[in-house]
Amino acid sequence: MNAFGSIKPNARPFYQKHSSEELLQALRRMYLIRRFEEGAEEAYMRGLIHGTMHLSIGQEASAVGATMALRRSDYITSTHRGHGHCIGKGADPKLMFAEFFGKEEGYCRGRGGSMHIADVASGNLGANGIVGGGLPIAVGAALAIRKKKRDDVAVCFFGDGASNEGAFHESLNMASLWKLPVIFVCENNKYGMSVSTERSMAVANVADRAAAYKMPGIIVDGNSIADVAEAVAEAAARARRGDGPSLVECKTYRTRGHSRSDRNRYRSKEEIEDWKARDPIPRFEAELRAYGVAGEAALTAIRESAEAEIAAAIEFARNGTDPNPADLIRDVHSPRAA
Amino acid sequence: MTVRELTYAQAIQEALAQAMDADPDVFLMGEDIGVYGGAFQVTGDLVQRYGEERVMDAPISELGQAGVAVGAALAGCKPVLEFQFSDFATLAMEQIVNQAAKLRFMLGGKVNVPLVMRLPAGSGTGAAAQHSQSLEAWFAHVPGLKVVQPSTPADAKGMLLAAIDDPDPVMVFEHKLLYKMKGEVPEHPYRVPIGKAHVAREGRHVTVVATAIMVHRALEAADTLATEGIEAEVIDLRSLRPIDTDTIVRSVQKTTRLACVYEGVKSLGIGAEISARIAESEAFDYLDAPIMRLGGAEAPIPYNPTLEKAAVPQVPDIVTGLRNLVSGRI
Amino acid sequence: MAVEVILPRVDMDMTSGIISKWHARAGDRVVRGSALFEIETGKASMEIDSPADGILDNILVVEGGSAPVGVAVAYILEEGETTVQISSNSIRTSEPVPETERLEHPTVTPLIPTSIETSASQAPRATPLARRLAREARLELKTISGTGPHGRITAEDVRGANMHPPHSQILLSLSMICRMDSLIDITERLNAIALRTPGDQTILKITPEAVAIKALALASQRLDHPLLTRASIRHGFGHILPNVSERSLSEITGLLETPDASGSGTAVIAVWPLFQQGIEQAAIPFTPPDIASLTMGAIVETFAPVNREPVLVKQMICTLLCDSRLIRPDKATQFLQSFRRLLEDPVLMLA
Repeated sequence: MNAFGSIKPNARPFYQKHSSEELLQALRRMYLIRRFEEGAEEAYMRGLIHGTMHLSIGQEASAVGATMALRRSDYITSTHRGHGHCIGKGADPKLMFAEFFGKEEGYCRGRGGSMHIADVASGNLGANGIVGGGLPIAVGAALAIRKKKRDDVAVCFFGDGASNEGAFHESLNMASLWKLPVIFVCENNKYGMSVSTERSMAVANVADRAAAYKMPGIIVDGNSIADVAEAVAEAAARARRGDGPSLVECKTYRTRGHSRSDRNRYRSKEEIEDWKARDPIPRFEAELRAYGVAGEAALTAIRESAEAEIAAAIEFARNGTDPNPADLIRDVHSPRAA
Repeated sequence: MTVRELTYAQAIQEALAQAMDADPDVFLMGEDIGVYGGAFQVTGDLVQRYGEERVMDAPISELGQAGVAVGAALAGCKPVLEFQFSDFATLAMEQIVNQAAKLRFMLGGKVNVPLVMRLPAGSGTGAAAQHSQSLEAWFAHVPGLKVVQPSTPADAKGMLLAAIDDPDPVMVFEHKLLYKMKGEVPEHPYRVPIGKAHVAREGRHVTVVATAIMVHRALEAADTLATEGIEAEVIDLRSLRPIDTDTIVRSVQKTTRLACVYEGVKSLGIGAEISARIAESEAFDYLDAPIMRLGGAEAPIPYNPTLEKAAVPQVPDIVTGLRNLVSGRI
Repeated sequence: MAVEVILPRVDMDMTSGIISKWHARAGDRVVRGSALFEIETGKASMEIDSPADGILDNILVVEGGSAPVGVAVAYILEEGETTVQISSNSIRTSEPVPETERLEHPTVTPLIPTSIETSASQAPRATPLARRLAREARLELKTISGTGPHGRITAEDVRGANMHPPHSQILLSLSMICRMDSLIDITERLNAIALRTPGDQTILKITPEAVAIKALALASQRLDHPLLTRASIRHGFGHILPNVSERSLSEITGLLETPDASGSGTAVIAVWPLFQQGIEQAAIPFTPPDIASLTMGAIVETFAPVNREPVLVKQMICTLLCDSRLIRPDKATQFLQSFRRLLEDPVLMLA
């Protein structure tokens, strides 16, 4: 049920299964990601932050769709392009921006920055600067879940490039061998920095590789939140049942370059425009309207509230506390340590 | 408090068993550590006593295993990962150096990585260049890791239990030639603190800082030198990160001479670090001779047994070196 | 106004000096022109007069301590004046100061070496412990002889030096009889050739002194001793003979006759060839930084037993006088023996 009446019966299961509050929260999170990254880009261009960043603009559906199936006690491991995963798992953009600005209030107290923003309390075990770094870590978290007899799962976000790393193959093998509750969510945005999947992978799809490890390999339209959410929900259910891991490949696209230094020499304007036309946010909005979940006013309100939240988050971050150089080595070791 | 003689390997096995008895979150992972009992028979029959869930044979995927151990540690377990040979840690560098060591820091101190890695190291077994290295200094270079090298059965047990208690990643380098060494080991679970050196022999003419098997070679050399009136003070460093600088400084202030004896390649290694620490410390003004380093040759470990011996310091090398140092010949 | 008492330069190449004695204590009334303290340089000891009337105060360098030339070592206060404000440029310790700091304007030059490289190359080799002990004992490293490899000064050397302050040497005197027949014979043969070939500039007249001095230089050079190995030879109280061991006998003969041909060097041995003066035996004193003197007495003809028969031989008594802390008795003996071998059989100088 929602403000506009019942979900239309022709709607796909995603719309039937989730309440309109959940669906609108998902849309709001997609907007938060979009505006967070646009705000980050602007802050970078204004010279307010000093590092680089990897933007996932265009990939919001996979981040939010995959995390919609998760509970707070479930884990994720994220990537260098991880702002979306972090927000999807429930992080507060205010504290993310504080981290982006290198402030003590930030999730990582200014020690991590864009590439490592993670809200550990919401189950995010870290955004990783190493391609493939999070893969075995997710398997290990799943092993801990099994050892502690919990029915949680671990979602491992990774990109097409990571599937060429040895860590990918070792991780999928172990996860499948031990039937661990992991969902490997590949965000295949077609390029590992500048090299396309055609030029770097011997198989057409990352999901093709799942067969080698005797696990389901599902390909979905990564720009359709419903496609992603349904596939991941099913994989999560399978994992919680103890039936082992799955691989969900989300075909998507980053409309921005790899990082701020990318001059886009490896792809055509036409290709970028083509993908921009498949922007997951308007697409989700259209479906919400079509299936009677929300009208224009509600959508506008969500858009505006997301924008206001991001504006406030930037303000909060700018006024944050700069870390004290005297605390440089504070978090290298645990204070409990010998 | 019962004390009996155990081998170094048995002492480690006892520590592993006691840690698993005390804490259900502790589990072991590695290659052939189950029914095979471990390549050096350290885990022995633990799989029969604790089951395959807690003594896990893993595929030959060192990087994957290390990452799985990191993930399990993040999620509340206390994995003890056995590398079959410390040389194979090179396959897992990414997870050890980029993940285990840095996650706590990168995440603003909000996570712990209570991971223990056990690494059989060192030469002397005829296993040649890829199974005989002493790479401990590599890892000791990385902030966020702790690196220890117990040299006696008693320390092997006590330091491993301390490592398992530790909330941070600890790498325990075990010298393969020590596994069969016997020594007195108390039966109860006890801890030998990480970061504290041990004065294995007192002396007044020269301080010898040694690690792992070199502690025993230095002690043997000291016995020989004692018959010549040279009294060497032998410090078992035990921990490379953190290093117990104070114990070395105090000793050098007493003896006025310093020698570092270690199996890793001589250059850019433990000896350089200890020498630098003494040069930077208040002990500098007490040095009455150049600092001496006796370390591994600038070569991979060879197969031929004569060459293999020549590649790392042996007792006669240490005797000669210390004699020259004390008698003012260098 | 308080008047600075500075350590004055009293010798051409002096850069620092040791205050061996204060004639007044802090609080004493002193009179301008009266002896205030004594300084020792490498070569000399000298009394320094008070620069003003007043009360001696703030003695910054105690007896036995050293200071670079030009820095304040004490102050003289006017009647009624209280303690003086010490400028940061005055010296508080007696650490040796490298030569690079030779002071143009003593009161403004900092005590930090301006060029580490230069100061290091001129500083004696010493272990850190030796340096610290010397600093604490207010000993100058260059007054201490190192017995370690490359002449490195060790703690033991400093402790030895500290027990016997530099101005009190422990003298060792060793004498030895040397047969001079071969040396005289060679000299005469060479001179005979020189006489026959007056046009040949490579064969000139030589003296037995030149042969003996070359033998001395080679004997010290061939010895394994940190000081003797690199020792220079001084002719009596005169000049240092440059690179004796590398020169020909006629060149050395020439050098002995040319007093201005002065070389420089450290660890100097003063040589006294008194072959003609009728003195049979003497131990002539030397002054630090010279490390020894070697006196060769008159060459006399006497009967000596050869195969139980008296044979007329030429002989000479040579005497080594040295500081036994710098050249220990065993080394001194070895040195003298090796010198005698070369004198008695000069052909060994070619070996």
